[in-house]
Amino acid sequence: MGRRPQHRPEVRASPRLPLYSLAMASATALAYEILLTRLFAIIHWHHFAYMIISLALLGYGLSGTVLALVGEPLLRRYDRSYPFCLGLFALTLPACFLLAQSVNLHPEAMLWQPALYWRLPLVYLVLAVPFFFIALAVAILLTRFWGGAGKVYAADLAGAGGGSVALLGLLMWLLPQDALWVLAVAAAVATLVSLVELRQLMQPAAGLVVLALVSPVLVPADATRLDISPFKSLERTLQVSGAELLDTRSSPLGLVNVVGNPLIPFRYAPGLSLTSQAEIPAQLAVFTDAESLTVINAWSRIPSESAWLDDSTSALPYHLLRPRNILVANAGGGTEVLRALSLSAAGEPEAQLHVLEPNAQLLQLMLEDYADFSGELYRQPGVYTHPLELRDFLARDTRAFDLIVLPTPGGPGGISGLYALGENYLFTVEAFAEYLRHIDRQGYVAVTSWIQLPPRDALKILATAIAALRNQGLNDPSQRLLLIRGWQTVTLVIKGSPVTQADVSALRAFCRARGFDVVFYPGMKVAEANLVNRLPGAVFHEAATALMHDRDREFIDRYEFNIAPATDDRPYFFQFFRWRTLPDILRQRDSGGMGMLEAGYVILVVALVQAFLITLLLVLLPLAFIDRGAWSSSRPWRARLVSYFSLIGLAFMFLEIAFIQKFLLFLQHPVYSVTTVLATILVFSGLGSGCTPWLVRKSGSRALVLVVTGIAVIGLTYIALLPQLHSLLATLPLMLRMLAAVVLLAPLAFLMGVPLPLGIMRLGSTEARTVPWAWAINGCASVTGVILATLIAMHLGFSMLVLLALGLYLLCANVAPRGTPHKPAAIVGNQAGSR
Amino acid sequence: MRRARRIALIRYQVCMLMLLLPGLLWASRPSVDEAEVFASRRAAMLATIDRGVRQTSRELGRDHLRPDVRAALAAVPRHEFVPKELRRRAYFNEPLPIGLGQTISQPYIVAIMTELLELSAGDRVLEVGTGSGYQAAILGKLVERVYSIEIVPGLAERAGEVLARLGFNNVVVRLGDGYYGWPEEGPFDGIIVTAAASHVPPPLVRQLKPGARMIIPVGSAFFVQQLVLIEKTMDGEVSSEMIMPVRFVPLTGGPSRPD
Repeated sequence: MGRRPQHRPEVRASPRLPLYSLAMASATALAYEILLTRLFAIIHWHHFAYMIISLALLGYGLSGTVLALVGEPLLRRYDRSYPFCLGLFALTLPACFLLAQSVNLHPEAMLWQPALYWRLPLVYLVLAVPFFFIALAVAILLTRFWGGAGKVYAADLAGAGGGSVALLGLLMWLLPQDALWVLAVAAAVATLVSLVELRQLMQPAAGLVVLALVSPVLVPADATRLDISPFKSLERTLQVSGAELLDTRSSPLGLVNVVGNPLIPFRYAPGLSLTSQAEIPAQLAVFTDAESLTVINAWSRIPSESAWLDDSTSALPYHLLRPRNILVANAGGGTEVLRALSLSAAGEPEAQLHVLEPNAQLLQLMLEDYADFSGELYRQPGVYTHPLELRDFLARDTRAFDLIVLPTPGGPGGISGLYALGENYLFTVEAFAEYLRHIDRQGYVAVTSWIQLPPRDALKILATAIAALRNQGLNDPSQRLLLIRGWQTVTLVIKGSPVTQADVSALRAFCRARGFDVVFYPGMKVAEANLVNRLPGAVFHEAATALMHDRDREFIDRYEFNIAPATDDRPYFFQFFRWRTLPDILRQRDSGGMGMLEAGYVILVVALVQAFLITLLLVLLPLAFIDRGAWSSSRPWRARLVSYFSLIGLAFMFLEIAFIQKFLLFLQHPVYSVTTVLATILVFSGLGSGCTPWLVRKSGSRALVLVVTGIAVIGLTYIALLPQLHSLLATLPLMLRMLAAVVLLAPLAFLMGVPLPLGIMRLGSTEARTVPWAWAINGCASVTGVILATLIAMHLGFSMLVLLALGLYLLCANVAPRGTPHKPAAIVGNQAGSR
Repeated sequence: MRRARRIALIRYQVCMLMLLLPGLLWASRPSVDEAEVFASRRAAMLATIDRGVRQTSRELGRDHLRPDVRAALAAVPRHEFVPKELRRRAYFNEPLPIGLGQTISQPYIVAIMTELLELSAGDRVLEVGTGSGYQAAILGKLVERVYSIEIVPGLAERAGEVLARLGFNNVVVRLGDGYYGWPEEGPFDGIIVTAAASHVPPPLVRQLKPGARMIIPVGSAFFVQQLVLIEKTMDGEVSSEMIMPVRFVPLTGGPSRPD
């Protein structure tokens, strides 16, 4: 056996453990991770962004591999290598983003040219670089000071938790692209602090600090602007002759852009009847994250200029009754508010029109900056605005409305399923039950959706409404439902009591006057369907009829797309993909088959496969080449190590993702949910890590069993009680709800922080050179865990995801490396050697 | 000494020859006419389109394209309408990005949209959304005159140049608002709205001749989900038909698979 350098790990934590810089750098890294999600959501699409960033975290796994392979010199001179890694993190943080955003990615183009899929790993790898350096810095400390793994991991997690909160504050003041430079400077300061902590001010890392600090000044302003995909609506709109960007606002909830075009007006009037002769008023287009178009209409109050509002399928409810008490959800620029004011009694004394818009910046545009342009629409007598989500508003309001107008889900043509990975709590069975509780007996819930062929959105909404009505104990939900369609939109109206003959007559007259088709009313004959806007058959009517009768389950199961109602536990309204349709779609690639492909889901699966491949190639394969001849541990012991660190990586991410989603409805918006849950889990996991040595001293070898049992008990309690607790606390103001979320999650998070340092301490005391190995495996499991968690949640729901995570934690206790790791023959050599 | 120098020189010359050889071989390869290559690719593209049309005959109401539509597809050099770097993919049956956030449609979609308009040689057609200019060129081969409006200056300019260079003198491209159509040249025997439309502009319906058809593709940049065919009857009534360019049986009690 040749001479090999032996790293002698320190048994006790060093007094020069640079914990302050570590906490700062970890805070920056987590803020960077969330910021990247925001930036890529603007440049590309939100959930695509989420996937890219998840995979970039493979940098964590890679750092463990590099340390395991060539880490000896880095560990020996940790006082130089650690600050150097932080310095490289500070430098690559903005540089890699700028490089990655220049790679042209478009999910739809990838479906046509699978060769383009290889651009995705390219982006992951570029973005993985800064995460690699920060993770390497953490791994160096963890390995070098394994005795103080609890403290190191505590500083890492607590710092990261702080970072998520700090970013929320930062995004309230700065544009996302400017926040990037603040983080670069923060990382440079963390490097400087590490040099001070380690008394190494004259080291090369100091040069990196200077470089990182001056980089914001050196990089030309042009290079730092956001390179938004030319296929996003904002960019396409700005290409049009005469278009001008009037306003840009930013908040953690999104980047809002206002565009005007005096030369070629927008004239956004989805679903307008083919027979309409109405003029569309002047409009301003408002985009959130360069997509999600809403328009602000110039309102002149001249009745003839509002005629266009009466010429779309969305106007139906106003012909069934003259509502006085209306609720409009996700009102945006206010087209539905304008429709309500023009067609109902909303403007009359004592009538009320409640306008909900969760993005306060959009409300501000309407109430202040563009109030004049919109004719003071949101300031009309009887109009009340609330910066709230619909379900949040209904949870604290007991009124019964004449009409609740829901927003239109998705975009025209379905956008090829790009929303598939997005949770949506407005279109679940529980949500519809809530809406039905809040309408008057003579009142209506109305929702307009885009027509897709083959039908998807409209049928899923209908199936959801039917499920909600059945849950109310109605045997024949068809008595409450009315459905019509034009050439572009479908409008569903759900009544609080059985539909009357007068309602049917009004519906027929409405459709006849505007050239719309009647799709369904109680007792309708098929001969009346599909007459004006003709389809290859009366597909909407027949599907609606099938859904309303006893064979709905069979119909849903056999349908080529997933139109099963979404629930709060599986809130993936836009997930229409079914594997069995895929061969048919691919067979029809040469005709229009690809238009049926739900891209979002496919890309998620591709990402999972890529994550596995990259993990195997870059992280796990190199580890297999380590000459383990000199290792004292036995093969079964190492198998336990691999299982243990994979399982805790997967379980941790499963719980993190599940609780981010479980608290999404409670905390109103993904930004608040992600920040609160991440910060709580990370900070309290950090505390748990810090307490690990104490726990080990107190409980000895039973510590792990106690911890995973605790996790399982608390987890099960949450599954049983969280929905009740959420409804109990739903009336609290947002800040108090965030606090309640912290209190609820803290005990679980505390325990979740223990298994990793506990495992590392066990490795350190037996065979310390396996620590980077464990770090790599844990990092990879965490990355695949994020994608896998989304897939599991889509198919099985969040409760099942939590149960699975708890199962994995319990399994950890069984596979944890324990007892003596040594090979019988190696014990003597090892005793004579390093120990 | 001199011998050694000579040997070195010969070695040098042999090395240079070895280096130049691949280049010489490349230069002396049998010349391939680029136009021939593109023509054969066009023929292959046409065969793919024919297959697609047969596959969706039930949805389209026909199992083959009209000879004049086929001839137009066979004649128009699609590679001239795509960016240089994508020319080798020009005849694949797929949409391609052409810059400025726009795409050139999948050839199969171009073919069936043209077919569904049911045009004649003496017709005048309006196109709203010139894009690359390829659709206008196909129409230009079929009818007397094509009026095309584009709202993105860069696209209008580029498409106008390409069409003029290729000799499509019966195609007029204008930069401007397509909402009001081209009233001074209307009414038209056919209208094609390839620009994303939130609704069908009423002025366009007015500019449609009785008995004429308008076609609108609905979908995203890379995928057309359905085609909306609007017909104005001889007595001025307007109705629409939605055509799925795919085979699909929506399971209302029938077999779970298309037959």
